[in-house]
Amino acid sequence: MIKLLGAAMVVASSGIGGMTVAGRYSRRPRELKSLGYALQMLETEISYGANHMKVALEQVANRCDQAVAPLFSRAAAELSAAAGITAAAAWENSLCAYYRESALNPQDLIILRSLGSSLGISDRADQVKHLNLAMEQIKSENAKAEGEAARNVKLWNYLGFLGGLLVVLILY
Amino acid sequence: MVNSIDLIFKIAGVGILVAVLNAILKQAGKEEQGHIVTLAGLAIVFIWVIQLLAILFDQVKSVFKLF
Repeated sequence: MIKLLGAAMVVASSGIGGMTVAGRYSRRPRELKSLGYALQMLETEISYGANHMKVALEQVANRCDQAVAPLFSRAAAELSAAAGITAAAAWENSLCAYYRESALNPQDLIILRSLGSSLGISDRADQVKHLNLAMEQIKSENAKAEGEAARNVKLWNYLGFLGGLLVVLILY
Repeated sequence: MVNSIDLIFKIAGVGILVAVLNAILKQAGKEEQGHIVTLAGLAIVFIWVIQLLAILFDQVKSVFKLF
């Protein structure tokens, strides 16, 4: 009886582990896509709205997808809370907090970080250029991530459960 | 005798699981890992079977008085 219970626990835990890995793979393209849309909104806010950075970030946070909203709302909050902080520093802080909870890769972090260093320190045309560059890079990362997800999600879902079953069978 | 029937079922189970894992890994383009899994399954089954083979050889030796 207790042996059966242990076997069920091994299968369940390895299955959940596999599903977690698969979840990371399937979450990343979605987050990248909504990040691309959000950056597009930010570009609109900067180039046509000509709003303050704080207001622009708040607007984007209100309208963009729930998955990436914390990145923008936190940056806006930091900008409005700490007097004297630059937009780049606020973006950096917000990015660090967001990265830990997201499914993004280190490459995505590099793209967003290099975008942050040019945010809010130059004229509209220059910022739009940097935003366009980041959007292009995110788009290409998204294409890669979708290919990876198509290959790996199913694989890890099966691999977790089958690996657990194999361990149970070998140790039983 | 019951024990060896259990062993046969265990080997069959490992065979099925390894076959499915191999198919999935191959479909995902990870053929090297598929080979590794197949090899690992083979090794595990051999470890189980070799113990029984040793008993068989001991019996053969004792039948023909080859000590």
